[in-house]
Amino acid sequence: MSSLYGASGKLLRVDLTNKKITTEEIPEILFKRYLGGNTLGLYYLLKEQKSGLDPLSPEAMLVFMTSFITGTHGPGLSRFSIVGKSPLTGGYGETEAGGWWGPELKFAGFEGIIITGKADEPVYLSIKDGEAKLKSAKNHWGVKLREASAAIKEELGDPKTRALLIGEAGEKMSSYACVINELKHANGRLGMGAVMGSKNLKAIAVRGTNRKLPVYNEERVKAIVRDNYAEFKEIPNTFPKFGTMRGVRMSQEVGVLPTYNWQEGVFEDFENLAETTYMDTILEGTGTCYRCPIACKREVRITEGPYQVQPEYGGTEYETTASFGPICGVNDLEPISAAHQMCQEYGMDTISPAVTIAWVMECYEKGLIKKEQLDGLEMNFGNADNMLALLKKMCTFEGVGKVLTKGFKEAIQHFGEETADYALHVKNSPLPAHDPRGKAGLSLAFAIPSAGPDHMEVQHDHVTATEGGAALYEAIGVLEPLESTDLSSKKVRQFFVNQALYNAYNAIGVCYFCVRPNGPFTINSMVEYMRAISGWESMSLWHFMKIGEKHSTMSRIFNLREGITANDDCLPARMFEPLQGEGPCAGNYIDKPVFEKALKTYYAFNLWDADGVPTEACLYQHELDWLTGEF
Amino acid sequence: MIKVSIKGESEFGLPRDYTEVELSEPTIEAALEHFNVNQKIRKYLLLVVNNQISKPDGALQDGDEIILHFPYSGG
Repeated sequence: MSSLYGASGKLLRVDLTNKKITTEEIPEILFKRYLGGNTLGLYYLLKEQKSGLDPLSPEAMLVFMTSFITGTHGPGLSRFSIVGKSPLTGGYGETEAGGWWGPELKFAGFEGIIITGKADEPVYLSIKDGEAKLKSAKNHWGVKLREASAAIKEELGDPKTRALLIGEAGEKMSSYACVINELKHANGRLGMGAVMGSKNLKAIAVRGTNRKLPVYNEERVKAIVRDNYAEFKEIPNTFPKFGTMRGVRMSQEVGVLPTYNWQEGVFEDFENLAETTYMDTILEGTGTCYRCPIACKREVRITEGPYQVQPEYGGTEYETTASFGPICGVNDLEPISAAHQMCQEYGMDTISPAVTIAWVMECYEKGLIKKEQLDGLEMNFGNADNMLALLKKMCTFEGVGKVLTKGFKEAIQHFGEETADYALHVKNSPLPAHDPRGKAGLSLAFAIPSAGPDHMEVQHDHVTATEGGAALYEAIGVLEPLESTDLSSKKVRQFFVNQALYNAYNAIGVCYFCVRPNGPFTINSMVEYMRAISGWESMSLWHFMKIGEKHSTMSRIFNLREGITANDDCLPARMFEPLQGEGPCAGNYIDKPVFEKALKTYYAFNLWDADGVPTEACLYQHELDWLTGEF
Repeated sequence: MIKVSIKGESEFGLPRDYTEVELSEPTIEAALEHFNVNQKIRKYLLLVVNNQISKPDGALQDGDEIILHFPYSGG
């Protein structure tokens, strides 16, 4: 047994080609250097995977990783990372999810799993109390998520099993295919479901009956959590009541609710989609993740009409609502909920297909894509039924859907270069439902990350534009609020430290919504908690932040090895044009020279050169000298 | 005295739709006081005045339209 507290220190390796399953120890020094989650997963990927390979080939690695604090006593410690090469971007693929699967993997005796090879027929991996077996998934292939999940649990004879699955989108290797645990919690972006599908791996079911993880100082752990809760309860918080759906009204009021494919920033029918309408009409209940006090998940039921929805798949949240809603011009929660459910059933990300459909709609209205090219579908903005029809085609690879489900690059090739300006993506990954023209720091969060545009890359500008919001980040050197449209070097600094913090959060697998302003942990208490769990008394906020910075450089190197460079740190052309319509951000645009200067400043903060390539000093600073000459 | 219209986070005591109020002082603090908004939340609220994101220390004018919201990030 490992001497590391909070963890078994075990890594499971599964070679599907040879049906070989082995267990190895993760040395404690690796946890100290990389913590876990995204960064430890990326360490294995950089160390073991050759550059240039096809992400859907048997040789490609798929890494599932938790951390030494996943599943321990504190709130929101349920998240895990999946990393690999993305079939969507051709670069670094990373995606996180909460739910129940990560902690259960820990209870089953493992911190992580590395999958390689390809099974000769569909299989699933079953892990129970330290033992792993491959089982046939022939009967579950081609089956919708809910039915497949239930059948696997029944087959294993233990209803407490936690299952992570792909749907038909993954089986057919859509670049938008995701991985979903417990039907509601998606590792959504970058096509990791396709990588699973390419390996003929339908699911990973985990169960652990030893639910008590070793902890260095249990009394201190409990005291930290208790004190944080006590202080947090005094701060009014609407997150438990409304979940992420409060974002619709807020984004509308400040003019950054992307509408009609980011042409405008306010949506005339937003009230139909607001949190209050949601609660009054479709909401059945709320859901949560392992040991989470916030319970931001929604559960929706629609029993009548053409858009019937069951609560087993949860409910549409902000990103999905805004993407299938205002971005596609749809003003009704019912078809949006149906779109959400369809994505869950087939194992498809929600943001990516919605933004692709919005592009089709704009090109259709501009006459650049014709009805005949869309299997006869009229695709005006706001046409909810045809939005669903096209989504179904994408989920099932039918007709034009097959062209649209591989990402914008292939779709633009198919429909013509004149459609390219209306494709809202970076590195081939569609934008999340936010507008950098009103939140300028997000221009960096969309342009820079190796894993493509990410709304969870940093805290958003509107939070750090307030006195209270900025003060939450004082521990990492944010000493004053900055205006939301500021993109000066001061904002780049704020972005840089915030990104490092969020990267580090993904390394330990804490949910952002369990850290202030939304949840109980403060930045300092998070570090104190890690010390109390691990016994690493010298663990500091400095060390934590450095691991976050290290992750940026490691993922950068991964991309450079794959030929993705500073030229790909860009924004869609629309972001440099004035936002149309009304609202507080109408007329705003990203100033291109200011943005380009911000990129260079960001590179310099990282000790990368002017071309965005990590310098020797950078490698030594982060103990990454083993990657010298690799890129 | 000035008259302004205010809307914002109803969960924090602000009206969801624009509501006209009279303030004895032309400040955001006076508006928050009027609606008895919890002291602990005030420093987090993002301010929009007449369709412009604004700083909370500016003076209000008669007829201003004001929105006060707890900011939203991603998710």
